[in-house]
Amino acid sequence: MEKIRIGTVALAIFIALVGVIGTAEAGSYNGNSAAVYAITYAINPNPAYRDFTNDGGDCANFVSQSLLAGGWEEIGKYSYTSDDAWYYDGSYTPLYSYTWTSATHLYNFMMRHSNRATYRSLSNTLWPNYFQRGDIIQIDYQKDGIIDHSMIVTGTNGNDLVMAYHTPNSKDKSLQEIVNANPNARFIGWHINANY
Amino acid sequence: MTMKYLNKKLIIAILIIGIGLWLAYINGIFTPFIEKITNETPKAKINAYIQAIVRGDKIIALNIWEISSENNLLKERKEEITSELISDKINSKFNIVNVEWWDTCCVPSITNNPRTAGGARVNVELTDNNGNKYSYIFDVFVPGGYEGAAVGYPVRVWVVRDIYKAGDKPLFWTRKSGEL
Repeated sequence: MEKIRIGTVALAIFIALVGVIGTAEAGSYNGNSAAVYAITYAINPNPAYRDFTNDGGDCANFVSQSLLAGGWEEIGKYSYTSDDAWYYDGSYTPLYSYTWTSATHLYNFMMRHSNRATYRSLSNTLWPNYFQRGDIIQIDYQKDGIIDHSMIVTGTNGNDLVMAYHTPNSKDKSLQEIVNANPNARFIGWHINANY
Repeated sequence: MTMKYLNKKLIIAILIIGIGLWLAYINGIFTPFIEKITNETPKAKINAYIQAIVRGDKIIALNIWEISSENNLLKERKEEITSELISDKINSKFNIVNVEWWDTCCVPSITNNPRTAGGARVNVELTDNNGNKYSYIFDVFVPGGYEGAAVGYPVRVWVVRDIYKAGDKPLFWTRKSGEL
């Protein structure tokens, strides 16, 4: 009986430790490296990755590639539907996670991993004070809670931010112009933390 | 011995087929078929609305045409068009003249690929009992849009969002293709 009790306690401690180790994350992010990658592959996609342009949209896939280039580490293989996983190993599920390829799931991942990304409102229009190269901007056109588009900051221009995105493949786009053209949309800003 | 060997082979074969079917399913291979048999297509939704109109069942027709926001102009149009079509005594048979498919992810744009589309702008020709023809546009969309392969091609749920006479302006989907 005593042996069973000791065994149960040991198992509980083991499971708890595995849980802690499993969720503990440590890494660093270099926004400049992410921005350089984004500029390089904004117009001509990196052939090492599946291009989702004609398969529903490539914006989140492109932003995820840039985040990886900036230093984000993949996590949660191969729980492809989990919003706690983020990885790309190949062109078909379950070899990539939905958080890698879907704007909404990437949003969910960042919401759940505040150690990696910090939500920042765009209501203060002195954007360069709050955002820097390698940060992420997302758009919810209908304000229905579904994220439709993801973009990456590649530079600043006065008080404006310069963006790159896919579908359509674009770079050097003014965030101010995008905001002006979508007055009814909800914009979500993410500062990607240098260390997590 | 032979029986045991056969059983092993059978189990392995079932396992391989099962994994193959699972991979096909999570990559959306069966999605078009499932959408068809469950009537989750723009055509099926348009048909449901028109059949309600033909029956004179205004409540059902209004329920099929779902408005996503507090758009008063769209509310008025919904009431007006539905009443008008019921009084026009249109036939149950209709003709789809053209479908403009829309990708809704990232920067929305017109696509040639219905499989990835989250929206369909459908030009429908209706006929009344006297043989008069009417040209209408049905905007049928997937609520929240559609991300296709990014989320494994899940089964879409289509909803009638706007109906208007050809030539009139849309009130629900007002975007221009490829413009952010």
